[in-house]
Amino acid sequence: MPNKSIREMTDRERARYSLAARTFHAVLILSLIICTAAVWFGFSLYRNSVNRECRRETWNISQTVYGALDKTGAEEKAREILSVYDSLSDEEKKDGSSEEYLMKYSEVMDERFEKLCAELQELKEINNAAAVYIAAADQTAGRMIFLAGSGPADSFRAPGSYDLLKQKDLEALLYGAEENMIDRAFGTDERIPSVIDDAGKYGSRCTAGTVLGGYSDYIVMVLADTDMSRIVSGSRHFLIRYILVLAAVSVAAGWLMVRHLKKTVVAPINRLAEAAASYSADKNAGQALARHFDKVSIATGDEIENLSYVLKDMENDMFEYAGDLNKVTAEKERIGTELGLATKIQADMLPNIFPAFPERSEFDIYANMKPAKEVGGDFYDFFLIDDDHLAAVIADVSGKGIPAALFMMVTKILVQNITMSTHSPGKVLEAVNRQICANNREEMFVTAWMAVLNLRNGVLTAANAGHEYPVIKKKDGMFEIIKDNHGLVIGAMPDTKYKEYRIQTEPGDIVFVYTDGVIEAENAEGEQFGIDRTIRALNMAASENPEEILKKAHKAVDDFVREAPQFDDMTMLCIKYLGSAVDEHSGESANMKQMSAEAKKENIAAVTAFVDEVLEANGCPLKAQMQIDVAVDEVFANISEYAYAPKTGTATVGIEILDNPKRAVLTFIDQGIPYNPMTAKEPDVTLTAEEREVGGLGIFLVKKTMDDIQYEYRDGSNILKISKNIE
Amino acid sequence: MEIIKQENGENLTIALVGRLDTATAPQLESELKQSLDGVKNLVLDLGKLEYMSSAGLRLLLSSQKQMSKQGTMKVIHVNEVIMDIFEVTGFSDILTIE
Repeated sequence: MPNKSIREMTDRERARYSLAARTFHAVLILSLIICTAAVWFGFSLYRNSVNRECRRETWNISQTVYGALDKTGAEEKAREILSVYDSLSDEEKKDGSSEEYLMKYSEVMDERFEKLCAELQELKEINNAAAVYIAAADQTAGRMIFLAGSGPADSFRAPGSYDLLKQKDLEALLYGAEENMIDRAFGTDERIPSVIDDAGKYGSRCTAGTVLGGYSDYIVMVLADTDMSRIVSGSRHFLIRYILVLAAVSVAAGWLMVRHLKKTVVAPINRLAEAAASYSADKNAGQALARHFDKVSIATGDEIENLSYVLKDMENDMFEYAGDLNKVTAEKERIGTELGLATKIQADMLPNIFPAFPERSEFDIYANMKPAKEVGGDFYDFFLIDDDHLAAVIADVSGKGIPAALFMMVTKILVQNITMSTHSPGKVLEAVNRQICANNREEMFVTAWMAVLNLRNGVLTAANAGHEYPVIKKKDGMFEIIKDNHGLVIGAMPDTKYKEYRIQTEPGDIVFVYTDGVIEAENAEGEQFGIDRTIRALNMAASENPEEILKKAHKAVDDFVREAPQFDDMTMLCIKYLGSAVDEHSGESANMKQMSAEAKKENIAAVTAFVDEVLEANGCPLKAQMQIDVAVDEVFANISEYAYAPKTGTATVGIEILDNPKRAVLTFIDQGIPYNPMTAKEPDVTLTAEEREVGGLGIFLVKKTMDDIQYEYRDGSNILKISKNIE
Repeated sequence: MEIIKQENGENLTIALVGRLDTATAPQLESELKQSLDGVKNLVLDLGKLEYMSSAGLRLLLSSQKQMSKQGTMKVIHVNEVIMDIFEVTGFSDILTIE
């Protein structure tokens, strides 16, 4: 077999290894083997039969000669010659053809010898033999001693000359040749006393003889030779023709077989292969599939025809399958695109630009969500309710995927909308729960933790609706679980109440909340990440900012889970309280301008001028400036009037310009009697002039024209802050 | 604050220039005390007044109460800032503003 596969071969190589070529080779080799056997066997039979005829004829001649010969004369002459032979020493007989040796027999060649030779010559011619002669076998010395006659070479042989004689040949002359294997197998064996010498010094000859008599140890025989050279050359011609004919027949048979094979096997297979190749070519070129096997018509009536039907069926099946596959693929692509869009919408819904509040120095916040499927059921959210209150929420909707994502969207929007009208997380969760329960036929539910952080004083107000416990790190401590009061999950019972709790956070404190996807993240061994590992990871990163803390926590989870698939959405939210922008103790911050004055009405103009200077320097619109001036007038007049009555004291006025939105924050501090202007009774503005009283209008005006007003009494000081947008 | 008074028999027009606040209100209060007796038609021209605090509102209210008994009072040339204050405090319903 070739080392290359058929696809890598050139056409020439392919032709050499083709089915037709191989068949041709096989037929030739087979023919060669059969022919060799046939030639050998046939020729052997032929030769045996010819040889047998030859032996028989020669034997007959020798019998005829024996019958016609003057036996007495021949015997006498033989004895005469042999006595000469006997009388010679071994040394003298050593060279059977030397003149010296042959001269010893000169006396023998008399008239009777000539007569015997003439008689033998005559018999030879009558019988058409190659030679007729009398010879004696010397068994001891292994010689055939020539006595009289025409000689084996049809030429004169001197009496007494000898040829070497093998014992085997002598036995064949006397009793017939040894059995031939093929003759024995066919039962045509026949022993005829004779010797065949195919290539002796006298050519191809057959010799047969009849014993005339014995003398001393010598057997005297009358012998006849027949020439076999014609027979040998005839059989050689026979052999050559025989081989040529067999070879021609083999080649012709091989060629016919190949032709037949090409027509019935190779051509149909090639047609099928071409059809299959066109099919792949169409597919690779991105063309529409055409039916190629349908065009192939094969009528060989055998397995190949059957194969073509099977391929046609297969092609039909593939057409149907390809059609179905296109539909399914298109549908999958559509769903994939929509899911991708849904994921993007969901991601855009969550605040995901960090830092989220670059202008706020009171806190740092970071959060992220890693959905298990394209869209997730977890969410987080955070936003400023007003300048001083940050709301944060984290929630986990039961289930995953699109249903959870839809439910999450609804919940997120409800939370944000409701939070804008109340600062109480408990009330927000109650209201959200009520609305969710009103239309919750699928019986989905949400766990949620919600908190509002007062950025001014660090008080965190939170409520928990069946959500994971928050983890809090105090400024100099470690992250610890806060086992807060768990309410029922949202969506379970319409009238669930949620208890609020408060935690006083100090600057540097960190609050971390998460969904169960974090602590229930499993590794390949089915082990859960767990709260302990979570807290350990948090403590390792405790000195970082929230973004780094979350990234490290995520990395800890990833390192633990490794290749195991994520089963649940993973969401984390981290808030670090950095302290109020206004230094609560001195009532001032870095860019705050301050003046102190004796609290009396005469100083209002100076205070107003001081405030106006700052406002004008900051491009405050005139209308807002007028409104602020009115507020300064009202508040300072109030302090002058009541704070130290009947004595007098000092009041400090601070002004600070903040951004986003651009606003002026004024702080009034006095050490007079505690008085919260927010509790003052508001005037009824619907009364007629006669019914109205003159008091209470000042603070009312301030409340109405300013954007925010807050009062605090601390360490013996009344602290009033008013804020006005001056965009 | 500057107070410009224009008397014409029973008609009195008072124009205020500057700011009417806690510091300046007593000035206007004493002026009104002296001038309102016998006046039937009081006109307050606030065209040049920048703003008014609650001290000013109190004076307007007391003046309105007095003038309701003895005649009429109207306020003219009210700017945007002061108009806002009137509306917020319900004074726009009490006063006659032109």
